[in-house]
Amino acid sequence: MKQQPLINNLSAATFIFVFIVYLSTVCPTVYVGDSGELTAAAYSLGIPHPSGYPLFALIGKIFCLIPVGSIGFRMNLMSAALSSATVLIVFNIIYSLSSSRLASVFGALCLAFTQVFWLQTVSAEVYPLHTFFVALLIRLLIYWDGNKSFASLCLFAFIVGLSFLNHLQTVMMAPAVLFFLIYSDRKGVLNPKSLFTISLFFLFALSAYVYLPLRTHAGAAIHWGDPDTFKNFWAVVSGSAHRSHYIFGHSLSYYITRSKDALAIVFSQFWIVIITAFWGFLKLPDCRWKIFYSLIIIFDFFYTIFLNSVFLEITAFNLPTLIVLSILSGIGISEILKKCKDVSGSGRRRVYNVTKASCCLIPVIFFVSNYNICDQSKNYIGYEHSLNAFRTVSPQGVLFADGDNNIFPMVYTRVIERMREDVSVYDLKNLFFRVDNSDALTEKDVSSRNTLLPRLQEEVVKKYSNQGVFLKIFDPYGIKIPEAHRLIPYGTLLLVSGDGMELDEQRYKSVWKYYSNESIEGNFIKDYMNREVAAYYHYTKGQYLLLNGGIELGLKRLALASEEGYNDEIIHVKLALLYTDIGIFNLAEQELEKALLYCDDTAMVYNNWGYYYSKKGDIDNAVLSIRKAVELNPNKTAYYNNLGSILIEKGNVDEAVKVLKKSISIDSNQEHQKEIVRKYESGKGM
Amino acid sequence: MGNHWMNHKFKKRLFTVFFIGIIILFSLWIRAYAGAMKDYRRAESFANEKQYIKAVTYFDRAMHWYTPFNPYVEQSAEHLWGISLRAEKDGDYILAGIAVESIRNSYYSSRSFYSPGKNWIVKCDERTGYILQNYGSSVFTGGNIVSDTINDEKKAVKYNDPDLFWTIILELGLFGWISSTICFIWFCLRNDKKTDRFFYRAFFWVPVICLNYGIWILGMIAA
Repeated sequence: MKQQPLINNLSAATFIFVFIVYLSTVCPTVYVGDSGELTAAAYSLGIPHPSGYPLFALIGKIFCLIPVGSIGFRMNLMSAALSSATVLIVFNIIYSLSSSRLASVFGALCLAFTQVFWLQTVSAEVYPLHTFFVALLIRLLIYWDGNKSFASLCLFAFIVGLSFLNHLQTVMMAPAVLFFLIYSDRKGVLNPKSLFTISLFFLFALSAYVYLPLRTHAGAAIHWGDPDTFKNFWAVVSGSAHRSHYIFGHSLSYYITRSKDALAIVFSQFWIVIITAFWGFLKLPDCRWKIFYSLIIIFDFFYTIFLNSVFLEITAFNLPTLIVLSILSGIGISEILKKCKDVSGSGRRRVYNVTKASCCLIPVIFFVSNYNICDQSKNYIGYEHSLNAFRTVSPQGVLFADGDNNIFPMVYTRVIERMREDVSVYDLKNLFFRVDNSDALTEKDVSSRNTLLPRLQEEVVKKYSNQGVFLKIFDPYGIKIPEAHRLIPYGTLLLVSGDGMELDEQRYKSVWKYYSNESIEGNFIKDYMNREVAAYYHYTKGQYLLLNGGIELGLKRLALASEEGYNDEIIHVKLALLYTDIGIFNLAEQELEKALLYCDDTAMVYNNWGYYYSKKGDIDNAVLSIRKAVELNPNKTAYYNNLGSILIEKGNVDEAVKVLKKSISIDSNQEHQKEIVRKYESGKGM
Repeated sequence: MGNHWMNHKFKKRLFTVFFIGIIILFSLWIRAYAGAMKDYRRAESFANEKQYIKAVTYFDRAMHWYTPFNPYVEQSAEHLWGISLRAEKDGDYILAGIAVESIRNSYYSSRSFYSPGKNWIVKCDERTGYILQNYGSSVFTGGNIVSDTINDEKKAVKYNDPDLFWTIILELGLFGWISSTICFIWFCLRNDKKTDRFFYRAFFWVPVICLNYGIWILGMIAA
């Protein structure tokens, strides 16, 4: 009888302790990546990227109303609170299975302080809510297994429905859950009447997806994909536009490497605890639970390896696996403690105490070794990244942005903080900040939209270029620049400049002095996305210094960019091009080698090898490299055009004409290439 | 006896939840207060060293730690305003604008069920307009800030916040229908043999679910 209050107090103490630790490491403002978009969507009761995450937005809105810190901080707090609640549920699960207080604290704290789990608590993300549901569903299933009541089955179905309102990854639990339910109570579950009622509760929870069309119709500030028509609604909910191109789209060797990496991540999180988890698995009372937990892990890995191609360092995968391993490790420890208690002889007490001490020590080791990595309390990078962009744009200027790390913090600073409302912001995909006439755009079909959107964007650039059109994009070819216009690096942005327009030199040179860069240059451990932003900052600063006479400092900055963005896809290509342009070929070669290692788009890298060789005067190798680029991506006209130019330079006009014709056959809207073909075909050429 | 025990148990649980809530709220307040104090002090030292842009960065951070009864937020706003006036005097119109913009952004980012610093936001808007009108310049030489006609054409989008009243209604409706559905499952389906009790209880819970669901839908449309 006295056990219950004690365990309640212990679980409450665990929850408070974990929450306070998370509070001390949480990011104080908007984080890079999806955080800015998700925060702005919750604040405005809007719709973020597929699958719309209605439950996240609805719960997030409550956190936005807590008057502590900035709205960005409050949403990060939501992740900390939900993750603490997950730890509490895991504690409860272990206790319900082992009746061991120490084992419960051990398993719960091991989960709380693993790096992957902890890193999810520092910023606004959908995964803490997902892990909360995974833990809750396991707890409910244990409860159902204890009483096999119809009510608990209905409750389970309802909670499953709610979990689908957050992240569709819950579907990966389906095989485990279905197996367990059917194997445990086939008659009770598959009875048509029960099945019908259970489905009703599941669908009733799912009906909350009505949030998407209703809030779009109500004019929420953010409404990704305009899900107020059935077609758009389905595209958002199913995430079809987001996923179709990368499911099973890779080679066997890719999947083998990814499997190894995913396994390595899980092992590196738990190391020795894996053994106790395995012991706990072996000691599970019946095979149903063994199969249930195995299926969760197997399908979680399946999702990580085959259904997603996002870089493992970017997104938190394997979270359900970590929860299962924590539960199993708790059970394993309780079994080990029981065994130690049973040891006979004089050393019995000592063995038992040593085991207990180890149980306390392991979460402490997790805590100490991961604290610095997970401490993002000094991380203002997302905020500074967006702030600096707005500080660069001249009054009444126009800013085009592309790429998640560029747009999402900007969505936060613009929608919530109302930053620089004199500046017109547009995003290249027309999802958040839309160009004029976008109503017309949404009604068009995809193909005509794809031609209409660049044209409208080009018009905007042309119209406002005299008052300052700035680009915050990773790929300068992502937007069509009107003829007689060029791009000039301007602070961390690019400025569109027309013929005859002369830069205000004083303003151009003073831009850097107004930047806030304490965090970007700060000395704390940054994740992949933060490093990408920091590397890009160093790159632009280095480029500025180099072009303005500060060669030594500039080269140092560029080296820093290469180091900070060591596994970044784009930065090595950018650095290689810059080094090639200024004739530092040895550094260019090094960067191209790195680009080949880390860049998925190898065709683009080979194309840049071609540029490098042509600049170096090695035409034969240039041709070989660009041929390789064409071979790897036969749909990119730019590669054909580059190959054509280099073949003309080599004197191989016939083949050049053939290549250019091929390019024109892919995109007939290339007047310049047509002109070259006409010129050489009519014999006026070389 | 049974009822008395239940009451005691319920009271204990309520007390635990209340206790946890108080600790969490207190720790949040401490976090915000300590964050503001630390950033404010750093900002002050940068301001004393005349490193104004760094001072702006840290005053801005201090302001972002808004919480009720936190004196550092208002004091940071005053410092930022002072930096703006000084910068204008020194002919640094960009810094003058940045300092004012920081006050405005910080107060906007602190909105909750009430909006702190409304007067400051009005003041900042007026000053930003003044700076823009008198000192705003283009990135190109000879260029000037474009006329209002063109700015009208750009149709700068203003993002309206959801209505607070309807937001609260929406959230109440949401948690109402989720909790009443759970209650329906718990109280009506737990013992399916007692059919008469089922109907009696369902008669109460089903309308409660429908009512909350309706309130939620209404909230989503109106917010």
